Amino acid sequence: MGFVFDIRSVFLRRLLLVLAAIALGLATLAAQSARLTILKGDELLEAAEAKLVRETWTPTVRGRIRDRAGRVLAFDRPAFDIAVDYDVITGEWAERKAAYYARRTSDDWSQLDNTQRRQRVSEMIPAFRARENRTWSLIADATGMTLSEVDARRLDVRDEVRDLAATVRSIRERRELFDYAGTLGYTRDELMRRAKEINRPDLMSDADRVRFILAEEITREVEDDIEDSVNQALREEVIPHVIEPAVADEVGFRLRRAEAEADPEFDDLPMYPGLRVLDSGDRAYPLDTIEVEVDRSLFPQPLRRDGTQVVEVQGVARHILGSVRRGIFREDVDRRSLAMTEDADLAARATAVLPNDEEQTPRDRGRYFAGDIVGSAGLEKSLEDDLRGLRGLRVDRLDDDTPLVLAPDPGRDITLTLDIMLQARIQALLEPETGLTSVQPWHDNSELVRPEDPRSELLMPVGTAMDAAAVVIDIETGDLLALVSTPTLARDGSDLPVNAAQREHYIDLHRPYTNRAIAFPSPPGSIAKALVACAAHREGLLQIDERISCTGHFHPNRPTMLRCWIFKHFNGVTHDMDLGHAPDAAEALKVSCNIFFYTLGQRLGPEGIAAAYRAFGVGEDLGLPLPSVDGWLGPFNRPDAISEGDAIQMGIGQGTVAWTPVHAADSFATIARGGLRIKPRLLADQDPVATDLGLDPAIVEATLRGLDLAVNDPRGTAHSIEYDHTTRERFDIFDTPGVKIWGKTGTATAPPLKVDDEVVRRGDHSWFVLLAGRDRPQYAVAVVVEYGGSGGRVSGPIANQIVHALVHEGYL
Amino acid sequence: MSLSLLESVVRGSFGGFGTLRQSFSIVNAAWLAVLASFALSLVGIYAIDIAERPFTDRGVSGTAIRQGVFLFVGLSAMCVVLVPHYRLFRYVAWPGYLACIALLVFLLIPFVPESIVEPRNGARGWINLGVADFQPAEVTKIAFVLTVAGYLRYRREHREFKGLIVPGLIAAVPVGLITIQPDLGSASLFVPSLFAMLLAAGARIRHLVLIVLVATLAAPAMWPILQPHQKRRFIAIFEQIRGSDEGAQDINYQSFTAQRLVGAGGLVGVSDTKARALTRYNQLPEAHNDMIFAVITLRFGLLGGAVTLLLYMLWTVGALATAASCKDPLGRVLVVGLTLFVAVQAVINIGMTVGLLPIIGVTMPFVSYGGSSMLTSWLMTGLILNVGLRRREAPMVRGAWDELA
Repeated sequence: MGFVFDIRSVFLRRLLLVLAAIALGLATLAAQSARLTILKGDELLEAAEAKLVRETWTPTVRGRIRDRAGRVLAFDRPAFDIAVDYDVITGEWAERKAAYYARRTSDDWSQLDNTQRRQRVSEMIPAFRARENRTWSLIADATGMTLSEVDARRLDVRDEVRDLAATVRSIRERRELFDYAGTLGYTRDELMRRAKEINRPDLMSDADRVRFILAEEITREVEDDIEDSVNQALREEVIPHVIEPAVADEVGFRLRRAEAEADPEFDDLPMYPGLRVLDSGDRAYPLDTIEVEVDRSLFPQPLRRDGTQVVEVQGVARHILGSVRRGIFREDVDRRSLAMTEDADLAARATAVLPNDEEQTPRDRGRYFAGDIVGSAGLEKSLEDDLRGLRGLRVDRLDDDTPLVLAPDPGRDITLTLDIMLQARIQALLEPETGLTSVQPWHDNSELVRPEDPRSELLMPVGTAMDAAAVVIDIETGDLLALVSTPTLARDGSDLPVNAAQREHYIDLHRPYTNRAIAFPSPPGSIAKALVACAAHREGLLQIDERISCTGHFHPNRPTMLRCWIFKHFNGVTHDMDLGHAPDAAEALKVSCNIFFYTLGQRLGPEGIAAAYRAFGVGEDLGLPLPSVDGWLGPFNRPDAISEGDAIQMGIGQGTVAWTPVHAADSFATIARGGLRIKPRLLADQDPVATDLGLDPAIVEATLRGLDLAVNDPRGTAHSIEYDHTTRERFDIFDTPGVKIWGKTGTATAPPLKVDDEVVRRGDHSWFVLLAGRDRPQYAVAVVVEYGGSGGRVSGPIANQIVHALVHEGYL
Repeated sequence: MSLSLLESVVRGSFGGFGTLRQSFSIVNAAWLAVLASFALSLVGIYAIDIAERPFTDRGVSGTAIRQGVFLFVGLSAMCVVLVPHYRLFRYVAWPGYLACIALLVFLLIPFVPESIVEPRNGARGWINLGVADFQPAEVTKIAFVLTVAGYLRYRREHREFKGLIVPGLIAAVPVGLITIQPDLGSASLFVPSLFAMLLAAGARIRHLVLIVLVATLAAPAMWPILQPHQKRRFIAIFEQIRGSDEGAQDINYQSFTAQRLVGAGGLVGVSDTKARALTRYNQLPEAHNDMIFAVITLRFGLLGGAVTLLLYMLWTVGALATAASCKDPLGRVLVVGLTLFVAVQAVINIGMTVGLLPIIGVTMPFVSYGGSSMLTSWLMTGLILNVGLRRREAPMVRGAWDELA
């Protein structure tokens, strides 16, 4: 400081003081500039450069679903909606652009007064209006609408959005006012009460009345804040709106090219302002409806006709394929993010890090945008993350012409083990119009009516449509070739009653959304006897040639309980009497002797019988990618609660056990493989899961012999049907030349079905399970008709038609 | 006009000694200020072109061309104010000052049509003259400095505390009128200038310090009369200095964007093309105007920013050296007053660009786009050069206060 005091002039010293102050100011600025450029420079440069980057997600497609023969069952069908930006719809675009270009093209703009400026702008509006009209004319030309039709749609959209905006804004205004009043200590109720008391017809809305009450407390500033939040643009005011949905592809392509054209005069303007071609592709199911020619000449004698019947089958495999919906819900987003955290493969496949992202945040290329398609049922839902494609990404740098392009990945294609033609053919057979699943006189279900019980009316008179399910498994591979459940639903819902009450009743009665083949457990009945025999032998509780006497009823001194069917049906006859000796395992299967299998149930006991069923897959996850039921074991599905009495019942497939047709076909296929269980599979790329039950070949042979006798021995329960009780002529159930059948009937007592506390169905489920093949069992087929009655009479002929279907489709 | 009259005007008096040539001091420090002004103006034109023209366009942006025209007008105006001896400006000081006050009042009259007074960003600060917009606050600065300098030149009252009242009032009227336009930025420049002039004219430092202290203590009392947007800006700058980036998308958007671009320049800046793209797509508001310093550092980095700051320093040194070499109290106070306007304005403008000060809308002298700003800055430089050009003369009546001390 000595230097300063050397200067004798006070004035000079003061000048130096001023200079020092300014120098200090400039030095501070230099220091801050250095901090920004040197210390934070890299970070800030990166942030600034991020603004040069424009990202565009490019669309992708959902994977296809195919059947085992490669037929496409589901694919994304491209489609285009023609939409226009809202500001072009209202015409605000022309006004805004005119204002902008008037300023940009006038060198003397700053010298103009406001009137002159407005004049300039309004002179330019027509030029931009003409550009808007280019868009409308193009749309009219491309779609074949007249200009006035296009204009009518434009006005419709505009008015609709304006109405919506007015409503939303009045709600917003009210909310803002109430919120503000809340900060002043008013409660909502108090305000509403006081608002009601105001008797001023000029105050129309709640908002007006609240303003009146708050009066001076609403300052200019508050009013500005309210106005700001009320006037925020609605989403509808900024997005494009569809003018013409789902145009033809060539129209879509033409307009998409037009969308990219630039204005010849201003290259930063599009040639067709506001024009947007939106992807509105939908999911197509090309084989959803199939016409099947059914050969009536092969039908059971009473239904037999010459020639073929054409059955139009709707909703083929719909229970399996499921469906999609457009529009995303909160739970879709949550499910996806959960899947991304749990499934490392999916996360690795679906994640991209954007090149300009400072945080390097991994971004899900498959994440949902509003309006996306998402699986909502069936495989479309359960395989969503596989089927869903991954969007591509295009990153443009605005100071550079080479974009970074990440190509979209289509979703994975899924191949099913199903044969869609076999599926359709079997579904056709299960349609009531063929007669096989509508009540016939020879079904003898009128036996259910007991004249002494007034409540015992005939619930299903002749002609009533019955609900059924059928499954075909390829024994060698465990592939599910067909998985049919009727009734199904057409995709457009056209086969549901229109009347709401009727529709509800129909759904309660028939449960059309349920896939009976895998998701509706019911008691197995006598078909379970085959596996009980195998299990009892495995446990050493049954010798191969052991005979168990049929005494008609299980407990020697209680002839009204646990009877054999023959004892009940033929009034005291036993199988011992009928055969002339006590049956062995094969014979017991042939005649479906209850006493034999009650005995095995008793020998196995609660734990043994549960283990027997579990060995064949009951109560174990089927592992199918669909909502399925594992089956039931024990009261309320508690295997540990099975009693001795339950075990005896379960010996004949009754009591506390239930399974699905897939379980039935699977367990027979397991027996046919000599005890090797291969889990049924629906997805062709799924590796087979096999377990060996360790069955003795001798018991397998005995069981198969029993199943053979049941079908092929005239005394077997699955051998023949008497259609007309007056002629007493019997017809073989199975009549496919060269195809050998091993089969078992099941007539399973089922709990009554109630709708609104009223019994609507009662009686027995009709089961039939068979193995079919030219020389060895090749396919396992299970059929169940709910409340159909006799297994042999109702399901037997259907099973026979399925064997014909396998022949028709080239499997046998 | 006869030659002798012109000579009198140039000499600033009738009569005089020696030749006209001898009454000039051609070599003087004020040229440093002129040199710095010219360099800053050229930097400004280039930076404006970066801010205004996308790299895809060819040629030069119309805005930059207009700024070039403003530079020419500014240089011409400087030449014009060099002719008469600065002493003569004293005679027009008070009329000019009153005329400016009248204009400032006129701006505030509510029913003046928008074709004449069109509010910009909510401020009624411009009069539309047809050929160009005119900002009375700018010329008021010059009139104010002339008036105060003229008032203070031979007085001693301001060495007493109550003697500060009159200069204070001379400042208070335009400051008040400009504040309610509202143009807090321009208004805030008058006070440092006044203080510097008082300091140069011999006011006691303890009085000035006392006023600053009282004002600092009284500042919180001013809070209620601030406009909401002004309050928000003050809060925002405090938040920002505290390190919060909460306002980055709204109230502090401009400041954050400016800092981002300042920092993006790094040490030596980015290429011309990149600077244009970054400025455009970072959407810096007022890039060609108040925020022009951000464009300069973006293009030329810290080095460019430092050179710009050094140019202001050079300008200040030149101006204050001119004051130092001037023996005439009017010239001294005049130069100091003008110097402070330009220097403080530069510091405030750059301070708000680099995020140290709230954004109050003052231009960067010589550099920011705008005719009024350019013209005023060059007029000030011209007046300083005018003082520098006149040969040192012995005090005509009495010495300034310090020679008596």
